[in-house]
Amino acid sequence: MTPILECRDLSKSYGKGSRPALNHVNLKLQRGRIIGLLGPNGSGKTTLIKLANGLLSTNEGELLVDGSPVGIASRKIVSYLPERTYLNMGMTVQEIIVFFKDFYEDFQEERAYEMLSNLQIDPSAKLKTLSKGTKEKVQLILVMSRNAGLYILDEPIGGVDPAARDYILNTIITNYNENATVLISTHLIADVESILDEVVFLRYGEVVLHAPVDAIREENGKSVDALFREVFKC
Amino acid sequence: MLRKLLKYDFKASYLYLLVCYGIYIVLTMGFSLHLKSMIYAEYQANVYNSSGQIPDMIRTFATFSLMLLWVFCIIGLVILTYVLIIHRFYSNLAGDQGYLSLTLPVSTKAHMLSKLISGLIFEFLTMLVLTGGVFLMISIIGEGKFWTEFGYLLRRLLSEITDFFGISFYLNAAVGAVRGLLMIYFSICVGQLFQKHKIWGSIGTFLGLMIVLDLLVTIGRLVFGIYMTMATVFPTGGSWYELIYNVIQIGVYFFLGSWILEKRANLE
Repeated sequence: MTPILECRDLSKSYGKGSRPALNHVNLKLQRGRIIGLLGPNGSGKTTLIKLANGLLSTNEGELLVDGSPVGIASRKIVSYLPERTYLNMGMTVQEIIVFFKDFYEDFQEERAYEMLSNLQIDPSAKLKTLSKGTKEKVQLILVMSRNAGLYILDEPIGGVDPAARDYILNTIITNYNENATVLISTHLIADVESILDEVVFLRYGEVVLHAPVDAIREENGKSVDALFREVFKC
Repeated sequence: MLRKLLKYDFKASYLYLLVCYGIYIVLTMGFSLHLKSMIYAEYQANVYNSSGQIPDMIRTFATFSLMLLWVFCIIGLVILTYVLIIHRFYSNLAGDQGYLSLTLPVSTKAHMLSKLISGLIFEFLTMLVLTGGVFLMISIIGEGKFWTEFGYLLRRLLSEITDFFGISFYLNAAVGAVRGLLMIYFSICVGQLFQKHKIWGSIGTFLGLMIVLDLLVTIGRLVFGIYMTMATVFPTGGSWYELIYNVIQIGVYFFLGSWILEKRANLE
């Protein structure tokens, strides 16, 4: 089966003489998995995610989504949550839902409104009037309301309170179908560990580990969080 | 998808422009009425004390202030239109909103086209409102006489322009507007290729392009004897060289700009 995301000898640097953000990365992510993309700051997580969404260009190698280079076809199946607020703040929550419905055929409006109601977010509120955490929740709701093939979530729980984290993680688990893959980049490993099937450890732009969570626990006798602290000890 | 993109491009800016158009029209009406009050002596006699020194000064000061305000409003409206057009392109494709816009299942050519069409329409509307304001002023001051002759004068004016410059005048004006806007968009796209100081990179690209293009025009004139400025159009009926030159630029800006957004995106 074609991997949902594949990196072939992928390299990216931000300027001549600078250390590569990604250095000859080879990686295959299969369908139906929740995968943690883990690594310290500057390890290349966000660079990899941006490359998968066509927001940066590669220097070497290639990145394929569902067997095709990044383009309109891949954007139809990738649901991306960046680490920043990317919505037009002049719009209301309702308007942004209409926007997503307009552009994404797989967008589930009812699902979005249900999640908004569960998180007690007023659909008629203007985005600029919402708190930072609520904006992040709205973005996550929009992203998870799609029936996508690949969800790429960059720091999805970084800016929200612990109570909301549980809801968000539960949302992630319950809102993706068995053929879809969820790629989560986060520093809060302990919080997401329970939902992960696999982890990818990145260090200095290189993949140092790609393994199922169960195998890590069995072979190392440690949690992913404990192994991360050991591997990336300063 | 283009229709959807256009919908959101209009929604993002139209309200600001409508408010500014409203302010301009109200100011124009106020200024026109004031001018009319000065012209008609009967009205003056009711409002001002024509024999007094101070009321005259106040009247002159008020006229001058209103005129200044009106001129600033015209300049402001033109500047604001371009600020809105440029801001929309920059924030939507090169700023944080680019994280959403550039991940939509839409081609970058469609993005470029949508921004171009909406920008041209905003440009056209502003020019229309500004011209309308001038006509409004004349009609208020001149009362009913204006409208009876307005249609005739307009037709006459357009016919004279066409006779004098030829049809290429309109074609060059339209193509020139497209070229101007695309040149700005293209400069922003090139600015994104810079690792740091992207805005300065865009401004530098724009200024650099202006210098290079001016140089090309000068070389064309001096070396090859090709004239492209409007001054040389009289009365032969228009410079086709200018048209071709602009069309080539349009193609380069549009396709290269779209290609940069698609293949050389650099949202850090």
